[in-house]
Amino acid sequence: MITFFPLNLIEQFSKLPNFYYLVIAIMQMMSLISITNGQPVVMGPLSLSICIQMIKDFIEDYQIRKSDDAENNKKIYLIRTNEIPRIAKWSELRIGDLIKVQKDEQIPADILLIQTSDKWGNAYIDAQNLDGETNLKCKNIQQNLKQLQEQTEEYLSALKMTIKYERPNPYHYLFRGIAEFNNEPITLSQENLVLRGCVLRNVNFIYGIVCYNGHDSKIMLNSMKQLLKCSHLERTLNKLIIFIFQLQIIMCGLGAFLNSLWQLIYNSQLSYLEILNTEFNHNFIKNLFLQWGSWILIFSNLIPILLLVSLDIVKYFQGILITIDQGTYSSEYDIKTSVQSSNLNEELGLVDYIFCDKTGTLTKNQLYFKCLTVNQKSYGKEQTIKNEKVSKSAQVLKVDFSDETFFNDLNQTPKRGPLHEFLLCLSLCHNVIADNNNGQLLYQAKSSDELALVNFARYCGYTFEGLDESNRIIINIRGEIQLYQMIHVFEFNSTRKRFSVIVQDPQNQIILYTKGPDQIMENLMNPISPELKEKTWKDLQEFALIGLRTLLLTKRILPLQIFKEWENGYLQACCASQNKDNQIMNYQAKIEQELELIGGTAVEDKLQEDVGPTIQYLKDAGIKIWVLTGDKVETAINIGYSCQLLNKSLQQIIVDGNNEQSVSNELEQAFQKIQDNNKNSLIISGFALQIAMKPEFSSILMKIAEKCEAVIACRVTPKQKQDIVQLVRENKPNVTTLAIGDGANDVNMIRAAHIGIGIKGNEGLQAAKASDYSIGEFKILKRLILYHGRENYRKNQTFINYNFYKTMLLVLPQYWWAFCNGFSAVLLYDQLLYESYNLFFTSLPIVLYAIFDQEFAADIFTSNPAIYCINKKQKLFNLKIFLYWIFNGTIQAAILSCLTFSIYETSSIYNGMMSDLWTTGAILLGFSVLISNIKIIVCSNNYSIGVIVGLFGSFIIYIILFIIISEKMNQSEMSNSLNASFAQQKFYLTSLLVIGATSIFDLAFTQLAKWSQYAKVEIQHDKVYSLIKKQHIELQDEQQQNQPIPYTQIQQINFPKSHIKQDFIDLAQSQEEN
Amino acid sequence: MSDSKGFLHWLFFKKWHPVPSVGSTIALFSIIGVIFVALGIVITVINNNIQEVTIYKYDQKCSPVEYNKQCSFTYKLDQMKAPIYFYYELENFYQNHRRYVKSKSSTQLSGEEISLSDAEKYCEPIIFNKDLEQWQQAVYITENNEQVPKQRKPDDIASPCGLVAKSFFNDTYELSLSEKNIELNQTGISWPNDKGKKYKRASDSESTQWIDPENEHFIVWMRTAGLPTFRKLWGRIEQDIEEGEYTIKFQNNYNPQMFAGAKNIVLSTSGPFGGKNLFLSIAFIVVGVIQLLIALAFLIKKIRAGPSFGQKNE
Repeated sequence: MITFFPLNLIEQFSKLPNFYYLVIAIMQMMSLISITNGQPVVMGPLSLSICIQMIKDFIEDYQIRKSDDAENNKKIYLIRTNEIPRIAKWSELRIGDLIKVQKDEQIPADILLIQTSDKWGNAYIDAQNLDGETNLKCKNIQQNLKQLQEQTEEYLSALKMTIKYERPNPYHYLFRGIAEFNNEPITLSQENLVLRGCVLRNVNFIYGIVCYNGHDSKIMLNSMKQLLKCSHLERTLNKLIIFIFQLQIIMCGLGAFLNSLWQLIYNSQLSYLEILNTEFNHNFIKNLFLQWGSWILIFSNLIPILLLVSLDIVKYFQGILITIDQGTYSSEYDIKTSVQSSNLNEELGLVDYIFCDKTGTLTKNQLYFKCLTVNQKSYGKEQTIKNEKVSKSAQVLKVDFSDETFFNDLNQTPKRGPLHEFLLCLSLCHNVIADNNNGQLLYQAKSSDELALVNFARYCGYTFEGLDESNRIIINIRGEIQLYQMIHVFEFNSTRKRFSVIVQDPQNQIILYTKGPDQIMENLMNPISPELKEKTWKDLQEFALIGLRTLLLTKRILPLQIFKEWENGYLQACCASQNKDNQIMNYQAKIEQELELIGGTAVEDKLQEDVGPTIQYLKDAGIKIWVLTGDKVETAINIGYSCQLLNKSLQQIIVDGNNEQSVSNELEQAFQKIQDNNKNSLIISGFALQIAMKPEFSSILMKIAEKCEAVIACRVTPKQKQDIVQLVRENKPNVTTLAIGDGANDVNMIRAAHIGIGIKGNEGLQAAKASDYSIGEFKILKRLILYHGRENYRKNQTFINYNFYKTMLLVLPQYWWAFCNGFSAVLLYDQLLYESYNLFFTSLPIVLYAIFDQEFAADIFTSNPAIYCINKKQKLFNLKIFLYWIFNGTIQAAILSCLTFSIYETSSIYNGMMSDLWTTGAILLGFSVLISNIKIIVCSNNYSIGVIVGLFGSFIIYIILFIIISEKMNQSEMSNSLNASFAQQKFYLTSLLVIGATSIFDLAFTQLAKWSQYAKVEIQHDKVYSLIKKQHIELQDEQQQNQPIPYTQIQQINFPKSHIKQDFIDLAQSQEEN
Repeated sequence: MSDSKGFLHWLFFKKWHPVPSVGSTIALFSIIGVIFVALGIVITVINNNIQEVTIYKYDQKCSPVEYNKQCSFTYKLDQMKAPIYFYYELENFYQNHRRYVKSKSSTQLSGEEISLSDAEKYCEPIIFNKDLEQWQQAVYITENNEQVPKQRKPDDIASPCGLVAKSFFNDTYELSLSEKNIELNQTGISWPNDKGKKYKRASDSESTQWIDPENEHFIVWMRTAGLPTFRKLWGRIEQDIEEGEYTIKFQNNYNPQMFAGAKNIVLSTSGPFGGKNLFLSIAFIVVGVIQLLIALAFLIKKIRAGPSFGQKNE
């Protein structure tokens, strides 16, 4: 708290304009060059500006501190040797402490498991905060520590154990350590470590030893340092300030030089100035420097002092407007858009790349059972059951199925037949945990697909009720309990790509159920009739086409003898000391043969509303969209089609090699392919990406990606998502990237991109918290970018330009006038008026403009992406447009200066009285105020009463201040000048002339620019896009109506088999090895 | 935005969104152009009714040119209507130079005593009596511009101090037509309120000051001009004058050679917008014509580019 003030002060002065004004203040105190009699008058506005910025920083710091405190003050049960166990704060935790975590509590540190309430020593944790995956992860106690399971808390608290482990590192899946327990070394792995940020589930409590705490914990090491994001415009602004400063130095130097020269030449004519030989002014060089200093002081207002503060204010209110805009409100989820970093408002108008998470962003992350195909018949494509019937069984989640024919067929052959087999397989062949919570049966599973399948079985009356003590599966088939002895489970992994169970049915038959994707299962099956195969495969392809995830279900009845024989080998393999995993896998593959087809399932990952049209619009706005997903290649492509990212006209390039050589070949080929084709799409697997992102390939990857309208990266990890964003940023430093995601696994990506957008969805608020803008659903992105981004960019750009323009209009008349006073640096204006110009006379209207102006109605922006394209091309703004404004200001300053002096200084004003320098100066300043305010009228596209009031109010403030100075401040040079100014007709006549000679021409140029801009963008309204939207809906309708799909279309989606047959290396594993 | 209804909504969200078409813009520019040209013509007419006579380098009209001497010459003037303002005009005198304008003390001029440090700060380089002109050190100039001999201590702070005061223009004029004096009213030539407020004589003016700050010629001089050629009001003729050969008698004190310039006399009447200002009328006409040209350019462009030009398809 105490350090805040000085530290913040240093920070404030490290900002360019603030430092500049500090230097000016010091210069103002040097009496030789001072134009203010040695008073640092600039300190007033400067301290005002700094105060506002400080208060803002203070509030922000305070909020961070509060949330830190909240985290630090969370409670945990702490057991320390020789201390009474107590509830302690998280911040008290030290390495080596023993803690007890209860069910549903957050883990406060990375802890080594030593006891759990689960009898097998397992602990289920929800690691959503870390990797964004919703499924539960299983951690366990190291085998050799299991004896601790039985011990009491007192024993544990007195336990002495030496643990050696690695230094803190950010890798979630990396932990190696050795514990010495009973003089026996025990190897520890990541399986034994429960990480901070996880939540304990399904287990009543665990005990653990703190290994890493505080900032050493993996979640903290993983959370990328939140860098202050700075928009392109702000960076350009800094450059502009430097540019203007250089301009100032040069112009002042020139002025000083001319003054010295003038004095040198005309010295003999300037006797009334009484420049003595001994004085500084007499020496050419000394005078040069003195005048230079004076000129710089006069020019000090060239850099608008309130620029940064008022820009912050503008952006803050723009943020509020984004929030309260109905168009950014997600009515479906009742979520308002919220703005965390309003300083990026205009950056939204420059987006070149969107990096998009799939699950939860494009899709709703709610898997629904949708369709099935059994015995040459497919169900689920039509929704025939009426609503009231559906609501009856609505308590079953994750099912979106209401095909009456299915139930009719099912009821025709109760408890036998292919549909019975199908449902039985669904309810048996899975890895779901049933949790009976107060009579309510809840399922939890690693995979959401499985949940949907098991729930569908339940929906049809085949309820899985969990396992009993002797590992029997309890199935409730329409009220009848059946017990199936579970014998073996072959887990799914990415090499096998299938899941199997071996069970013994109530008739003591041993059955193997296997499910997996059709490409895998095809080769493991018994030959079946061609009709069945054709129909089933066709159905699956149809399902896949509309973006459904398909699985094939098979079974094999194992004769006892074969099973026994196999099991002997298998159990040996399980105990093998060497190459255990491979042996087990071989044995598993051995039994998964001669499978018989049961049927196929299709699960839908529902797309968010309007994803397709939104993506289409964004693509048309010239934005490249990269989808980064953890999904398989096939699923990703399916989703790509359903959300219009991919379409028939795009040439697909697939890179998914599994070693460096093949990836490099594929990249080479891809590079050849894209040479003469501009419509491409790239699909790249995570592993291939890891290779392709190495420095030697990254340039070719970028070249390919540049030519692709869409890029889909599959099976990527959170870290890779971030790396991809960084790769693009590094290779193309001028582009603006936007990352959008909803889960904790997107946080890194969101932070790495220029703009991070979080979707407040099912996967918690991590992404939303880390993001700069958080929205309710994907489709809002369109309005946020095309309308708010575009408009804010336009307005903020004008805001900055205008701020320099108006200071030109203030400062430069003095420079032009200097041609008439020997370039001696005279401050033409009253000091008070001069300093008020930027503070009061011209600050409010431009702020109101930048908040409220609107070029077109919002709908026109969102339906005409072409406008956005133009906007982006205006990135050239930095110099060309800026120079135009500067030039404009310079010319207008000259016109003002020339007109005012010619009219006021050459003839009398009234009663024969002549004006004097200070009155003319004050009137000139009034014209500057007038013209710079009218400039806003010229620039504005629409006018509200508030803006008009602000405009005239500003001018009235000037008049009031003029009158006060003139009438009340005798010491001022311009006192008594009221009679010579507003009291005379001459003032109004000259005002009219000045407006006519500046603003009216501005109006002409602005109109011309607008017209030529309209000519470039044909504003298309919704014509084209409503058509696209309609087509999209029709396409979906078509698919739902089960119309035959052209073969070519299927061909395109159908993934080449050769790719599937290649062995995938699981990325998760490879990451672990890192 | 619905929840922000009410005053703020009315203030900021009820917007008027004009969409100027090419046609209306052409009309607008034509109208403004015509108005400007018309105003320019009106001002020209007004200007023509204002009479202004400049007698250039009047000091050269006496021969030999001697300074600090009285001198007279005759000049033919047309008939002029009262009030006629009598100005002196200096050329190439930079009253707007930084060093010059800074060099005075407002405090001192408003009748207060200033400290030495203030005098040094504000009045550089004319601080002491000894820094003044010789004649200024030995005189007291009254409110009515009469010179009373008065000796001052050279090391006292000059009052008024500074360059502006020191360079005080001290020519005086008399105007007569065939021996008949025409009165030049020298009161009320300074800005209202300046005298006695901004410029106030010190309590013991005569002994401490070399000129009474309430001397109106002084006040006029102290209001520094913005351009190197400037005129300052010296007197007012409150009667109409006839055509004739007028005699102008003047005390030739101020030497324009020290600034390599000239001194002129200007006699001028006044109109509703002050003195004669040709620039104003020309500027109005030029701006108006340019606006008409813009309207014409738009019209040509519109005809050339066809009806699509400037159409905002809304």
